[in-house]
Amino acid sequence: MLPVFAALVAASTALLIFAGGLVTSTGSGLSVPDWPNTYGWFMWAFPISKMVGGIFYEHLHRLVASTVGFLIVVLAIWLAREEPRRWVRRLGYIALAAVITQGVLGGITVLWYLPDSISIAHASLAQIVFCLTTTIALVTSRGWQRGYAESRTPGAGAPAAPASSRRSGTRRSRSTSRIASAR
Amino acid sequence: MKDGLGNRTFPTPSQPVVLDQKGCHYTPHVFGIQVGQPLQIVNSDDTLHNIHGLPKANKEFNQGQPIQGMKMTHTFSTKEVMVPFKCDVHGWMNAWVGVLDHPYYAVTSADGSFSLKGLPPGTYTIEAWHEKLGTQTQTVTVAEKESKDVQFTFKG
Repeated sequence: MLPVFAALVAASTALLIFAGGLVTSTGSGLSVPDWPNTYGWFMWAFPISKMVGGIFYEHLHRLVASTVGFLIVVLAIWLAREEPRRWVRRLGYIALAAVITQGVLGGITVLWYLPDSISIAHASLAQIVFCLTTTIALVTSRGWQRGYAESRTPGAGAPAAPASSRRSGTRRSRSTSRIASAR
Repeated sequence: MKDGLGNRTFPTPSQPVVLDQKGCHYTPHVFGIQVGQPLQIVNSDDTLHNIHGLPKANKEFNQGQPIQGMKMTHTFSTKEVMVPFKCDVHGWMNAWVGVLDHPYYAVTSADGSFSLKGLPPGTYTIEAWHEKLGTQTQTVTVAEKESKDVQFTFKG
């Protein structure tokens, strides 16, 4: 279940980047002057009927972003509880810290009238968050884990990798050769 | 009036200038105000607007007016010609205000005419501004109880 959820989080992060791009391209960044509220409403209580003009893009971005932020919180907790590999758990923590930073950057760029430095940092970190969630989705995938497990038990007589995990098969042979040379 | 008043100072009017948001347009589109004079910004529309001032010498501001009838008051602390306003909700909405430290300014009427009354005798630099065609200046000298005509021609 975790691999499916991790893939969902990665896909939702891609969607979030599209939503952020819409804000920039339509020049809607300051159409909602306050943050974290929207025109004084709690974000999720803001009426849909009032999402007019540039508010539609800016508020939509906030809704998608807070949803993705929540999904990453769940992902990080899930990894912390169930993931045996420490470095993958750490990836979860890093993704969580990065998405929280994203939220804060998005907020202060509105409150400070879109200074270039903050907006550029916000746009760039967005792509790093996407890379992080995609990496988590990849390394928690069944195909990757199968190859990972096999690389840890050389000569265990693992079955041939199915076509769907060719990439992890490549990784397996690399890992195996590394272990062999260490001997 | 861009230059020529020397070190004269003028009282700050307490009467506010009103900028209305009506029919998703600013009324007036171009106007003048004095430093420290209250600018009352009103939302007469049954929709949300944000009033976003983008000055360079004054402090930038961005305020939401989500409810019809909302009012806010803003003052400018230093002279600046011109300060643009925009509504980021409705991208076509824009207005300009000229912030001056004296009362000698005017907005042209529909036929392009304007008048500056009550100037002390002296030599003045008059600047004409157009939102798309830029600025032009002319120098004019007026004696006591004298009127002078100046004409600016902008070619679009």
